[in-house]
This record gives sequence, C-alpha cells and structure tokens, in this order.
Amino acid sequence: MIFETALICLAGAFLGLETVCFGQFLLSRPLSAGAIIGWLCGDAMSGVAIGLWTEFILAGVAPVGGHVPPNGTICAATATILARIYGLEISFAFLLGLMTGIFWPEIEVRMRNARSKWNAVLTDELSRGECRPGKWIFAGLAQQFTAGFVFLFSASVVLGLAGNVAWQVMPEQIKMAIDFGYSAVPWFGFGALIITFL
Amino acid sequence: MNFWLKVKIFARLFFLQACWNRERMQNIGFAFALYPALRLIYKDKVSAAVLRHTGFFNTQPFMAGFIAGAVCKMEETAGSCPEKAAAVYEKMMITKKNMASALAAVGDRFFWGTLMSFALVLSVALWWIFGFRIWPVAGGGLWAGFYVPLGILGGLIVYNSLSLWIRWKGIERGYLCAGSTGCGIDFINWQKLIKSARRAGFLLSVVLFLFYGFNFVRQSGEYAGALVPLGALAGAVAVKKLNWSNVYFYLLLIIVAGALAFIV
Repeated sequence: MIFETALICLAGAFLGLETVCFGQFLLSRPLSAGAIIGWLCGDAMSGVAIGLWTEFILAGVAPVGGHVPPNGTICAATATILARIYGLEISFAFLLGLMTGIFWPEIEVRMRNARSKWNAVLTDELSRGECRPGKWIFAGLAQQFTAGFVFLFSASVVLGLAGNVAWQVMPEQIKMAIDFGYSAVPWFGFGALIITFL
Repeated sequence: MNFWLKVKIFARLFFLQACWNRERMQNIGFAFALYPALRLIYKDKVSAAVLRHTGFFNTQPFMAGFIAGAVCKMEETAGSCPEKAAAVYEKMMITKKNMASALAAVGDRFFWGTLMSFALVLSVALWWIFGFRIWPVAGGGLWAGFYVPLGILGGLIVYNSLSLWIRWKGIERGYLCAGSTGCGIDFINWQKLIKSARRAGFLLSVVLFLFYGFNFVRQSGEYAGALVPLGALAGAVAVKKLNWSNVYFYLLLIIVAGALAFIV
C-alpha cells in the first residue's frame, strides 16, 4: 500500500509542477488530475467525480498576482488516493482532500519566500560574469517537485491511516453531515460556476 | 526575429514561473526566457544583459510573450547602437513594467477568470452530449471509458489552442510593436472576447444546470425536489454576494447538518 501510494504520489507531484512551475496547460486541473490519479488507482470514474467537485468548489478561485489559492491538484489527488487506495468513504476522502489542498498554500508561500534568497546569489553570479539561468530554473522545479511529493505522500499516508480509524469511531450524525455536504457540492458548485460567468 | 529564436523563447516561457519568488516574482523565469536572444545580441557580455532582467517582474504567464518580444527588440536596438543604449534601457524598464501590469489585468480576466471555467463547462457539456452524466456519475454505457477522456480533452484543446496561439503570436507582436503604447492590448479586442466567452459559458452552464435540476426533480418524483437545485443556486449567489468562499460554505453546510442531526 505504501509503495503504491508512493508511486501514485510521484505522478501527482509531477502533475503538480504543471500548476505553477511549468506550462500551465491545465493537465493538472483537478478534473484532469483526478481522472489520471483515479486511473492509476484503478478507478478513473471516482477520480473524475472528485476532480469535478473540486473544480466546482474552487470555481472562481484564481492565482491572480501573488495570491496563492488552494491547490486543486493536491485536493483531487489526495482525495482520490484516500478513497481508492485507503478505502475511505468518498465523502470523507473529499473533505480530507480539500483540507489538504487548503493547507498547501502555507508550504507554497514558504517556498516562494525561500526562493527570494536565490536572487542575491544569482545577482552575485551574474556580476562575476557567470551566466547559467537554467540552473536556477532546474532548482526551482526540483524544489517544487520534492515538496509536492513529500507533502502529498505524507498527507495520503497519515490521513489514510488516521481517517480509517476516525471514521470507525465517528458518531453517525457527523457521518451523515459529511455525506450531506458531499451530496450538496455538485449543486451549489454548479451554481457557483454559473456565477463566475456573470 | 528568426524562427528558431522565437521557438526558443516560446519554449522557455513555459518555465516563466519555475522560480516564482516573493521578492521579484517571475524575474528569473523571464531572464531565462530572454537568454537566447541576449546571447545572440551581446555574445560574451551576456551576463550584464541578463542581470538587467533580474529585477521585479510579474505578469499573466500567457501574456509574457508580448513583453519578451518587445524587450528583445529594444535590446537589439541598444546592442546595435551603443551610444543610445542607456536611453533605451531606461525606456525598456518603464515599458516592461507598464506592459506587465496592463497585460496581467487583461490576461487574468480572460484566462483565469473566463477561459478556464469555460473549458470546464465545455467538458461537462461534451459528456452530456455523449450521454455521460455527472450527477450521479453514471451513463455513457460501454463507451464511458472513451467519452470521459474525450470530454476532458475537448476542454483542454479549446483552452490550449487559444492560449498557445496567444503565447506564440505574442512574441511576434511584441517584437513588431517594440513596446509602443497599447502593445499587446490592441492585439485582439479583449473586452469583446471576454464578453463573448462569458456569455457562451453562462448560457451553456445554465442549460446544463436546468437539465440536471429537471432530472433530479423527475427522479425524486416530487416538485419539492426542485428546492435542492434552487436552494443551492441561492446559496451560491449568497456566497458570491458576501464575497465568501465556496469551501467555507461547504464546511458550514456540514457543521449545520451535523448540529441539526444531533438536535433532531
């Protein structure tokens, strides 16, 4: 299970690079990422559903300026892994996945702050006549990939194991509320999507 | 600008945000994208030229081509006429800053605010046409495994064909207008494009919402079932009006439903 999670998280981290660092072709949008991760987990349809609801719930959230929004790729990937590899209820997996995606900006902001220090070193190098900008691009990609993988993997394993225990001991009323929240997402999410066009 | 140089800048602009940092944002990515052009102009004195572009830079990534093209042209002018170089560099920095903010405003509205959502609605609409239903996730028959990726691909194709075209053409356009007033902004009637895409997205999403709402009412067998989609729509409007987040609304729903379940 751990090895399987690690392999899928590698794919998730690779997809995650595309969100900000490379290309932005939307291959990492929650819908596509959910479908790909779901397919790797052996159930593409669960991934599609989770990806779509993630898109709906994050409708209208955009990385404008320096703002770091919740990471939809992390949301969809974590939720799909939790549901398909760790066997969590899809409604609970979705909630936990969403929490993970909301937490990601904390890490992203720290990485961006850390990268600010690279400017002084780059300036110093260029002043000395050394010019290798590609080295910094590679370093940025490597940092993002490593952080993405470590975060996704640890979140999946911890939440997968803890989530199963939590679901066992959780009162029925809370389980019902989580199921209700999940069943409401397509409706108000679709409504939110309509409003983004106004 | 020769074709291969344009290809190199185009490809390197994909990495514009690879080194996004809080202090100078996309500066390293932009310098990396310009490197082939600067090397061609300044040969072994390229370090000083790259250094000029390590200052603050931030724009919408798909619109960066316009600025890269304009900067290439200005660097070329400065390189070929050293006595005018200082004045050109000064103008270049101002142009870069002005173009970056103007193009970011348009690009954010179009790509993040409109086209991204439009591509999603298009995928859902394609599924609907193929018979694959998103709520509950079902249908499409034996061909679902084919239709589902096809729907996703449809949205991606529309999004990428437009964004890649603008990225590619932007370099050329920027080079030709060399940072003159309105460079890039006058490339397309952006306002009209945004308006048309929003109108089409709105109509398509309303049709889909009505279809799923109607289906839900029919399956529930009671007209009261209409309260679910209508209530959800009202909730979404309220979230927007209150400038709130859908995520918080979803969490609030869970908390309220949980509290009610304990009380009842």
